[in-house]
Amino acid sequence: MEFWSVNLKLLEGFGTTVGLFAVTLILALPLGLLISFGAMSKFKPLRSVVKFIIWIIRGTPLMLQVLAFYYGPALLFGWGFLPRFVTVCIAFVINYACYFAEIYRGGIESIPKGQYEAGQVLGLTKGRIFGKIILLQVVKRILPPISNEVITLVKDTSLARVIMVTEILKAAQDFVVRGLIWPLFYTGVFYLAFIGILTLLFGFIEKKLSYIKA
Amino acid sequence: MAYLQVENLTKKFDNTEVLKGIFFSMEKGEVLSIIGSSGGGKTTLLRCINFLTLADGGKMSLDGDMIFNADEVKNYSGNDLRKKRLNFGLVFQSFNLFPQYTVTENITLAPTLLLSDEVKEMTANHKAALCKLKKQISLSKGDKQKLSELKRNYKELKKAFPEKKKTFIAESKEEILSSAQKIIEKVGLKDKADAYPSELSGGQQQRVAIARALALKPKVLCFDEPTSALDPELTGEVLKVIRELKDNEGMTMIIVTHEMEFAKEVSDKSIFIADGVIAEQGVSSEMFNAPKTVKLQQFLSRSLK
Repeated sequence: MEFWSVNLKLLEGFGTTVGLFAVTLILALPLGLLISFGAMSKFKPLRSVVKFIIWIIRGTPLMLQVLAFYYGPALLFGWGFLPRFVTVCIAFVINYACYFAEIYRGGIESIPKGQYEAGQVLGLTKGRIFGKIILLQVVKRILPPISNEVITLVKDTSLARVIMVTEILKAAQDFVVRGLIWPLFYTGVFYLAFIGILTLLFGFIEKKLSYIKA
Repeated sequence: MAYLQVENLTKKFDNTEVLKGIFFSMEKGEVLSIIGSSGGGKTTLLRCINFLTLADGGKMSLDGDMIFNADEVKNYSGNDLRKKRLNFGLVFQSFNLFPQYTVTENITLAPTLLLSDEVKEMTANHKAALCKLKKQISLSKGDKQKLSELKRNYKELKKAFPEKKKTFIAESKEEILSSAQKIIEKVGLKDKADAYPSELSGGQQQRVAIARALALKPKVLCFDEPTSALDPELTGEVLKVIRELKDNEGMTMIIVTHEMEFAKEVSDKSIFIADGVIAEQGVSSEMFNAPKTVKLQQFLSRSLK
């Protein structure tokens, strides 16, 4: 029965992994778009601030950021600690939003100016030009780098353990302490299966958008 | 007053004066060619006319309305500009079709979005009318007969609106689609109506671009070197469509072009731009057969070689 009880524990940890993954993705994808608009803003102070934040976030390890969000408020202001899972989510969302923002920016800037101008001479508003003409073309172009980031995110969730959030790898390591080493390697199966599904999903979306050829 | 009148248009980019005071006018149904060497300001002029860039100085009037006055540019809202742009259609050198939409969708996209604006306005008007009735109801509390009549009106108005809106949308959509189909037929692409731009040749794409511009019924249709990006054997089909627009529809058109033969044959008037000013303008046949200025003589002898 040992195998099943290990599986149960690992599944519990995997739930946390998937939860962190889902929260990060759902919040960071739109937040990234907002940040990318900031990074492309014509208002220079805003652009500078946003670029500075992106530099900080991309320039330091995610693990350090998780630690900073957990201990920072307590050390700097003497506040209490946020719940661990919430802290990890905040750090992950901000980190991934910054990476997504740069991908969005690259995608948006790669769309030829003529597409905007064609929309303009047809009397469309800026919002509609972006929503009806530009966005889908951007989505198509950024899908490969986004899928890369998403896959990296699955594996980055293992960093949550630095502040004792029991995701799947931490759950497996808890068995190692008790002399059981195989669960640690067995987690690979979970990661592989999850990423396999994501790969299929991205392949499907890519195929769906393959009719767009600019 | 002429149909389109352009007065003293100037435009600077950084410190280079690209347009140094352009004057011209044209009548309804006329075709005007703009020729000149690259970098002379032809495209900038066309972009100013289409409000893609705003001129620094000058005025423009169309059909009796002042549509551009450089002194008032600051007061133009984004919405004003959007409406002003709709007076003109523009066909680009590089087509700029929307790759994610089929030929028909490319053509119906803008009219459909404009329709949704119209519906929004209609709904707002309806709400305002209801509000007004409500006010009247509250004011005529004493008069029982009037009150019941007003209440009945209110109910009827409120009840009829969803149906009215639905029919309006359905009818307008049908109209947009059928007029798109007619235009597609006009440019000879009936069998490509459901194709994506990437499945079309350059000449076909440019014809779709012309159809897309026509769908908004512009007063003046502009072309920015419509055949420059095409293989030589494909220019004919695009020029044919332009010629047909002139002959069959009497479309008012401004064409920036390198195709001297075409300009000579199709356009009524021509403008030769050099170094940001109009160096010569006049009736096309005269200009091309007997250029008066040395600059144009040299330009034509270079271009016709």
